[in-house]
Amino acid sequence: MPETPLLSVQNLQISFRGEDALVPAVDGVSFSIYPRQTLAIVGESGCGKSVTAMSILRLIPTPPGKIIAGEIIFNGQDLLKLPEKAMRRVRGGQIAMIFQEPMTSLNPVMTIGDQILEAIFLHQRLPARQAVKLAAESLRQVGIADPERRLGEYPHQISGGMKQRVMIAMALACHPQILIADEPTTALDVTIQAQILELLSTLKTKNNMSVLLITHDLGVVAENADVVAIMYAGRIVEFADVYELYANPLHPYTRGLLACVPRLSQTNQRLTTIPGMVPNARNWPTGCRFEPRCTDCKDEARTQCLSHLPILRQINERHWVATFSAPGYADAKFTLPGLPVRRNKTPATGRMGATD
Amino acid sequence: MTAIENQTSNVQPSMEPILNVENLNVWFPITGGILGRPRGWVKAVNGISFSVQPGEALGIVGESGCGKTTAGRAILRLLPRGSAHISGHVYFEGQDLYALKSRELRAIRRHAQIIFQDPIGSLNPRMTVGAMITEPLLVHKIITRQKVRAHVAELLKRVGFDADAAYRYPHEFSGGQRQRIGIARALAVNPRLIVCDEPVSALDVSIQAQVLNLLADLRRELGLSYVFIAHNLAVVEHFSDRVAVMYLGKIVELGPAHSVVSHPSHPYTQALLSAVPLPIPDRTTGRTVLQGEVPNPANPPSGCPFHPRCPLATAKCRIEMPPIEIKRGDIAHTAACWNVE
Repeated sequence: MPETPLLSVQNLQISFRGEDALVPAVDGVSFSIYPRQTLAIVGESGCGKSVTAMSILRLIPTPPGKIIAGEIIFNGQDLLKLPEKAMRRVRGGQIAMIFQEPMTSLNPVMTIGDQILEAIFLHQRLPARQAVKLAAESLRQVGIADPERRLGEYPHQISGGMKQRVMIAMALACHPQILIADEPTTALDVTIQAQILELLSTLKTKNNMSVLLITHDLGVVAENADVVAIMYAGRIVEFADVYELYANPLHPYTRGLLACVPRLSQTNQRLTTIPGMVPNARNWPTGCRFEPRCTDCKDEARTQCLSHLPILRQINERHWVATFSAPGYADAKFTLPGLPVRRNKTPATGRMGATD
Repeated sequence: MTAIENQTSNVQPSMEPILNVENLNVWFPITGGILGRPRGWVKAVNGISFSVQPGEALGIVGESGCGKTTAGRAILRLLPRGSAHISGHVYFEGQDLYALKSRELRAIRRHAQIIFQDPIGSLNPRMTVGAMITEPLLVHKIITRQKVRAHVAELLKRVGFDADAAYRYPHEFSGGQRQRIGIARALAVNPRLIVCDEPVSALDVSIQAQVLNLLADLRRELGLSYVFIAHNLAVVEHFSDRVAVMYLGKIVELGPAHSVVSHPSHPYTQALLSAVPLPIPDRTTGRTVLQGEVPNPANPPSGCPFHPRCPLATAKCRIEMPPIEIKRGDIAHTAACWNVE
């Protein structure tokens, strides 16, 4: 029996009110997450990845933000149509979120214990003593030594890595089915990042969770994600199984991103660059939004790139892409991007490591 | 030709070093009580020594709080007077910066510039780009007012702008563009040494590569020397000829970039390298995740500062700080560890 997705986002469109007009931030994003899967959304600042993540929990401030269209189906119901009261049960209960800045996400005038207890009492009816026990247990689960003492401490008394552990403990206290992690390690040092990512992966397996990982770091993606969505200028431009994506990147933007990151022990001196910069959302090109920076589209193909926006199409079993230059794109069809977890994970055969 | 030969091609080792840092200490006081007397010291930089040859790029890498930024400021004597207890020597082209009077120092500053991490905070929002680049030219009396416009246009062109960018304000530019403006401002006075403090860590990856390439081009064309400070080992290795790894105010390893990365001696360098996530989806190779966190620099561990997290630590490491010395017979490659030969 084929697995059904846990969460699916369909044709999501979000705009923000600008000075004189609505500025689009997310423009027709669709994807689905399956149980026990880590889906990474990758992109540069302003591509709409965080806005997409926030909208799942309806955390977009309205105004200025506005969800123009789309559906977010979770457990058979559209989260965007849910009454606020029901939404509150989902938020922090079945779907939890951790943020980039553990420093500003914790309340500085509440003890760590009180903050975790607040989350627990919001979602579960428990006697106080049992709730405290659960809070201590959740801190122990994220590797914090002496949790009973830590419950009485304030955020300023602990380090950045420890704060992110507390955030994770708080998010996991109610056993969510999906954890949304928005750049969870960007503010942390690499050795602490390695600790936190290892922790997240252990907890994911232990709690049977799915993770939606928002990041810009292709190294973090390669080591943690099962499935990857690459976003550019408000749209998903490529969606694939992680092995397939790194072995056979099809969108010129994905290839550019993979090539421009300096790697350890890389011998060539000059870095490959993506020329130009991300277009302003007030003024997106009418055709392909990557066209002004693209090195793929030339001559005859270019007219099409300039006039038509390529939509995401499924070009093989495990790969979706939105570029006219991909082989087989012309005959491919749109399907909702999403890949159930494979039982035995083996690297896809292909040009492993080839990135350009 | 390997990367290392390629990168060191414009370094002239026979020459006198452009920068020579000897046993530099920067200690910040921890004050308390009504009188504000120091109760203790945060030894942000604790006895570091290194030199930079003309045309060389020396990378300093380490995690937050290791003292790399403080070291970068201290070697240009940019720390506010009285904010820290500074000892040791910083020789720039043979002159000890900490022995100079402020007027002499100003004359030397012309030749040693700095580029900051935050391209937004380091540009004055109320000055046009042109005015910002002109200011150091006039301060150092490098050029007469009549020639300023042409000079500014040339500098802007060098970092990839049209001349009319001079009439625009910082907010009109993106992060990567602002960083290039910072570079143009640093270049205005024809420096010989530039300290780059995390120049690309606030930028998106596709923009990082553009700025790194620009810095590399300028080095080749103008023969600049760099002290390149960053937390990203891959970026530092890519950009530098030699790399110094810092931990809790000390240099724990120093050697040719490719040698430090491919044959790290110090267990901390090894752990740091192992923690870097690689853009290769292969989960068969495990990594050694370093446990614990960087200790509080106000209360550092005895002996080797890394011993509480070190997998190799012995009783000796807890008592005595290891000297930085040649390891594995490579005279260019030094490390401070009792357990590595």
